[in-house]
Amino acid sequence: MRPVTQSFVCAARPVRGVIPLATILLAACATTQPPVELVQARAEYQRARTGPANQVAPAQVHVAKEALDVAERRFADDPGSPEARDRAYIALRRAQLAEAQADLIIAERDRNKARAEAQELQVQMGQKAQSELNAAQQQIAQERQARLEAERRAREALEDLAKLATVRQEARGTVIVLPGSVLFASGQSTVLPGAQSRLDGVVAALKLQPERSVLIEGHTDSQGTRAFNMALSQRRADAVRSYFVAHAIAPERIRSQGIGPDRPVADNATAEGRANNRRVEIVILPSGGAPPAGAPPQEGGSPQGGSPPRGTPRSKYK
Amino acid sequence: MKIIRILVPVAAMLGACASYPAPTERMARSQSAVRAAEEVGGQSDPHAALYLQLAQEELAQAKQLMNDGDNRRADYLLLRSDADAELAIALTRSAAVRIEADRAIAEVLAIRAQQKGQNP
Repeated sequence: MRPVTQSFVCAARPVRGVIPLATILLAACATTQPPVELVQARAEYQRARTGPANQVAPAQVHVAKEALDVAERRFADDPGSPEARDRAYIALRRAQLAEAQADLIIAERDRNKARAEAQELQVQMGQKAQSELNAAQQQIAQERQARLEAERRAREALEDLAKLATVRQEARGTVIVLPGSVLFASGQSTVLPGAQSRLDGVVAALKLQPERSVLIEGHTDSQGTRAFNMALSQRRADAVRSYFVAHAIAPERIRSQGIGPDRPVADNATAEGRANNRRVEIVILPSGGAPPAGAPPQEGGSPQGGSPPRGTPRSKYK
Repeated sequence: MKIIRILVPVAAMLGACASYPAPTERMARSQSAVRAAEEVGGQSDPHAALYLQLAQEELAQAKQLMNDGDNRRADYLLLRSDADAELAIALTRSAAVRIEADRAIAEVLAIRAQQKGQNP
């Protein structure tokens, strides 16, 4: 705070014989002491003039200056009057008001700037979220389209396969039945060259459904010993499996099993029935299904294309 | 003679008081300023409340002085009251806007922190 100033310097010296005069002069000095309001007003104005108020509220600082000038004049004219104190009081308030106005303007600027920035940031976040949502939706749409396309190709492959083999849907999955006489020579387990086109059709169907596991079952008729038929059916299932693996079907997807004569689909008493029982069944398991370890075929399968129910003689295989 | 000596200064003083007009216009202005300070919530801000109280007291004193016939002193008190009320208004508004500014700044910081959390 600015030190108290005096309007003029008292220079009375205590000289012998003139004490009454000195007393009068000192009394006069006392009356020229500026009132505390004026001292405060000067300091407050100085603070406003040198602070941010001078930059952001110059008009208010000017008003404070005018009020201070009035107070100074009134003090000079009539130092001890109540009006001099009043004017100093008002000058003090004007200086304080200038600073308060400056604080208000600065606060308004800070608020408006922060609000604008918050709004901008929220817009940016909204745009980013929308962009991410759009990308996710696009990806979902693409994946859906790809899945539909894969399903369509798989369906077409099965339809093509149905021209080469019997295909039916059962609860355990899609079952492709290949006659044994087409795949193997009698009593042998080597895939015949003429069977390769049919197996290639199966390979094509399997490649279109890479997420599905496969179970290959070898079946025989009832002629010969059961042990021989069990071994033969296992070797034939293994031979088909090897063919698939050789044609780029992942081996972990495929399991082979010899069923032997245990699950005939036709009467073993007739030559036609025995021919139908000699077969290989390729089961494309539902998605997520692992090749069952020796699980029996499930009931409830529905033959496709007029195929007879399991366990009943089939009149014809393609 | 003695009575005359007493009456002459008294008459002069009364004449002086009578010559100063009643500050009715300034009174209205000060009343309006005090009312405005009250309406913006000057009592709720501790800093502004002090100046509002001063303004109210000065206004009341000015009314009393006018009733007593001292219009000159009343006029100056009304000047004080007006200045105090205006300051109370400015302080109240400044405090309120500062609170709004601090809230907005806090919101910006929160959003930035959220963005930083999403994109560390």
